[in-house]
Amino acid sequence: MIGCNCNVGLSNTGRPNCVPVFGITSSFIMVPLFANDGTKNGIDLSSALPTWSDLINEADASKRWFPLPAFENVELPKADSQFEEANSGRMVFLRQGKRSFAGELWAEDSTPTLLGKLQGGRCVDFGMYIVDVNGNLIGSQENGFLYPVPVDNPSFDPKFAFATDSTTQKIMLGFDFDRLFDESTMYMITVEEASQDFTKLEGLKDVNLIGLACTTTQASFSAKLDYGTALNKIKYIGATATADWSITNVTQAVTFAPDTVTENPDGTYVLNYAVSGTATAGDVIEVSVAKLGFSGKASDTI
Amino acid sequence: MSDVKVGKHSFRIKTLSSITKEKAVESFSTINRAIVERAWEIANPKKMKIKKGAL
Repeated sequence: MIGCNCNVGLSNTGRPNCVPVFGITSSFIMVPLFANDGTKNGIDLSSALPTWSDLINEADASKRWFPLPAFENVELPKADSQFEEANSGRMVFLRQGKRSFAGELWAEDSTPTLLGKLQGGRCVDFGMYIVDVNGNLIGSQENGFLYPVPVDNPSFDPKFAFATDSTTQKIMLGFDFDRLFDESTMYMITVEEASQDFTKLEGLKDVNLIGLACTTTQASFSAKLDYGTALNKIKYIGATATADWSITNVTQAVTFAPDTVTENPDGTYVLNYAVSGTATAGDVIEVSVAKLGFSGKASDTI
Repeated sequence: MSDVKVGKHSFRIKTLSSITKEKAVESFSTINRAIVERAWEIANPKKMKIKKGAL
């Protein structure tokens, strides 16, 4: 919300032809407002645009982009502005109403597993890039950067809805944008400018490394995703390249790639680091997923 | 391509190129010897040619 600028009068209202217009809101990309190093997360508009997949696969979660699936039944209502009215009938503007969001994730995008991941968002100061149905990215332009639109994170409220005779399973998400956000700062980066349809971006999948057992020459474990049934989580299969894994000797502060990777049976891995690794008895070894699109790590003491 | 893939096993070419076939068999003793030797030979084609020429 902005007040009056006393240094200018009315603003010029002419406009050129063919100005870009936002499409219907389809989804969002959640981004922490600030990284752990104190920098504000945003897209630098004065240099080459980033490689978008790098932002999703960013190792530092405080700088990472977290795209959400496409929403249904999206509403973005704006509450009424507040005025004080005198007995004479004269009204004085107090503040604009807050902008809220309500939308639904349907079917396979509505698992309780995803609900749990969304609920964590309430505890983080974050903003949203808005993605319209045409795949354009909408944010807040300020000082040469396009920043995510700040969200009033305590208002972030994902709720699970069971399927009924006439409705599918859903996650219903509601939140308010920051009440002080100036909506006149919103600009977009188009699909053509970015060479990226932002509706196609997909967030990282968490991988759980189970039963990690390390020796001085190899690490063995099984790998599963969070999703699946109570008895059978979906196996993380196909990470058979040595570049799909990273190993860190936490004790000696050394990181190295495995020399061999063996997956047998599906989702069960042995990483051998007898040649390139540095490991002695008593060291803490951390195994990390390095494959694009996935995130996970576990540690064990030799 | 930075790996040699033989069956269910992937071997880092950089590693296999830096060690002898005997060292590879010794280091990766949990993997079938024939598989390790095959992977080493794929990763070291020049060393194989020199060896054949010498014979």
